Amino acid sequence: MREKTEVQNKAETGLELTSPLLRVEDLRLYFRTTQGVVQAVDRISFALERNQALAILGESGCGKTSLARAILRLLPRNVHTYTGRIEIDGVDVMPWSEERFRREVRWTKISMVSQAAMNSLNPVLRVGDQIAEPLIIHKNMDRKSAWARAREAVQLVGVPVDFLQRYAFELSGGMRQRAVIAMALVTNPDLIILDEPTSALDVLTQANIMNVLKNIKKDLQKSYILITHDIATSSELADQVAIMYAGQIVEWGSAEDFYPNPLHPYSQKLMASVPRLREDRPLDFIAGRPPSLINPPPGCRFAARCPAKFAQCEHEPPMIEVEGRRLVKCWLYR
Amino acid sequence: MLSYIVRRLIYMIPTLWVISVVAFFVVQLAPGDFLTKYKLNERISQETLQHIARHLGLEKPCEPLEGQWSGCVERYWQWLKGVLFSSESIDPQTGQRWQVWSVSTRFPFLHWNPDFGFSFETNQPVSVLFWERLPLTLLVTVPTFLFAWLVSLPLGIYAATRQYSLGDTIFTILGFAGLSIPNFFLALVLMYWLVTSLTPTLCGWGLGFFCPGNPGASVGGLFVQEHMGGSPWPWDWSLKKWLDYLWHLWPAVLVIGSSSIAGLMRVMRGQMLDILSSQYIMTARAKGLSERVVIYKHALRNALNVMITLFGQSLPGLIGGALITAIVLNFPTVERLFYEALRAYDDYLVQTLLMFFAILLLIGNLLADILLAWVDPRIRYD
Repeated sequence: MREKTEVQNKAETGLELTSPLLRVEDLRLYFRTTQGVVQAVDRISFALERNQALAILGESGCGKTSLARAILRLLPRNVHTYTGRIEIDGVDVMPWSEERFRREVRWTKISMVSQAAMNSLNPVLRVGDQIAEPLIIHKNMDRKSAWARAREAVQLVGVPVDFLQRYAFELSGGMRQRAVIAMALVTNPDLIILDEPTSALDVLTQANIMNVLKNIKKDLQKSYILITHDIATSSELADQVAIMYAGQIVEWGSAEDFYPNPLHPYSQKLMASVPRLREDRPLDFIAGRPPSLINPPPGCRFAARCPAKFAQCEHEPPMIEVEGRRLVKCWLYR
Repeated sequence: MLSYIVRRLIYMIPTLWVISVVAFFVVQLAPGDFLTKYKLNERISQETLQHIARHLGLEKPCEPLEGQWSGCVERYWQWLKGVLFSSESIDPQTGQRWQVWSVSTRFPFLHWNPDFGFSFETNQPVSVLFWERLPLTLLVTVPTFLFAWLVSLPLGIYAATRQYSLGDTIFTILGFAGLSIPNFFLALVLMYWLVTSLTPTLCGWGLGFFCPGNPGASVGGLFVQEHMGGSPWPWDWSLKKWLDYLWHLWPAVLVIGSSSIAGLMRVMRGQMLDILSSQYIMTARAKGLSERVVIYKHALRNALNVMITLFGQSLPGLIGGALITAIVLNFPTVERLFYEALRAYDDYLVQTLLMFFAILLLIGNLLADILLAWVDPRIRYD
């Protein structure tokens, strides 16, 4: 199914795109704190093709959101290290100046639906103005045509057009979330980073929003990076899955391979902690806490909590290829 | 919105009445009254004393702490009657008629010319005294107010956007210095420096304005002798009077303003930092907006809420406040009038000035609420 769309894609555009939409290589983002340097994003590499969705899964504090911010260069003041390569359509954008990055990457190539999208709308500006704003800035549109585009965008996500005149506090949580998604779509970027897009919503609204996202992906040929701790919802959308633990990606593979058969002990534990219907077993959890990202342990970062730990885990495992198409950072698969 | 404003204005009437009662009786709690200094003067005969007391309406005692209320109620009622129902002010001693506010000439249907009572000390209507001081006070306080706000808001924004930078640190230190140095001391130092070194130097450079005998050489007060009379309103002034005014104004603006800048700047900085770390600011940055748009369009309007509230509360400061500096720099402000009236037990003057401060506070708060509703769509009053 997935391959078919890729083939269709190539057939439609008529060109063979050799470079992936986004390639991240050896990305590091460290923060300086009073306790020491926090390695929030540590040597992360992955690639994402067009019209694909990559789910990045992991528990709270593993650096998922920092990764999203690192890709869009939304850095806090206390940055210690920010290095690596971020290639968009084969061009490394890391050396670009702040001004060029702002104009040519943010919201033109990559947009973002940030965590707690409830708070992503400015309380004192009209929702419509906020959705239209990127068009005025990046596409030199006048206010009227930008609003016309904003109207189209909100219709795609199922927000009534007259809501554009309102302020964020006058919208329900689900409507705000949709408005934020419309905002991410309005400039027609290739890639949308979805940072916990449904975590603050009730299940019905969650399902609704996931359907909206699925339809957008299908109809508008968008790529997603879906950052979430919610394994169940991620399986709805993901083509590939990356598991993040303590600032690093520990497993990467296609969704079809991953969900039935996770490889990394951490992934297995993570999957086992999802409640299942009709299965009377105590929910599994992982004993202990994730390691501090300040001076993380030298070997495998999961070793302290790993049920399958052995002597080799004293050393940091490389990304090991399994079955020719999956990557896992664990000595068990040597 | 209009109905809200009207409602608020109507609520002000009972509020002001309560304030007037409380203000009146609190002032009376202090032992003694205007006659005390005459009573203690042995050369004043008992007859003279009674004569004065009768004329001023102070025959009945008012010492709430000693349970003597009769005079209080009478005097309060006298004052309130004058304010509400009077059509003119009549001097109790000479019978001279004053029409100070002349509301009824402008609005003949009102038949209302508030009489705020007479000052015991100067034998003039309170309103005359107040009206005399008001323009001169505003001439000092309005520029100071503008200076403090126009400097502190941009500084606060600057400091917040460059948190912990060298500039932020320098402004913070300067701000705290301004906050910590007593105003009157700074005023004295400034005057000393002006007299001993700045003006002689400028005169030495051939600038006649600063040589002895010209306005530039005088320090303290608002005008030199030759400009003191005439209209107090700036639009009637000659260029020379303007120069005189500006030259005498700036030390006051600097001294009084410096103390409020630090506080305002810190609040503005804190507000901006709070807003700048919020989710919607990150989203605005992610959208590729320039830093200027992020700060001035997205952050500033959210950060202004607290500043507007502060602004409303500081409105009484326009006619009151900065007493010691006014004394040191010899400015005839309303606050000084209030201070002198308090010391002299000049009851009606104290009462009236307190009421004006209260009215300004209420109006300031109303203005702040209207501004808040205008800036922040989440605030609705209906």
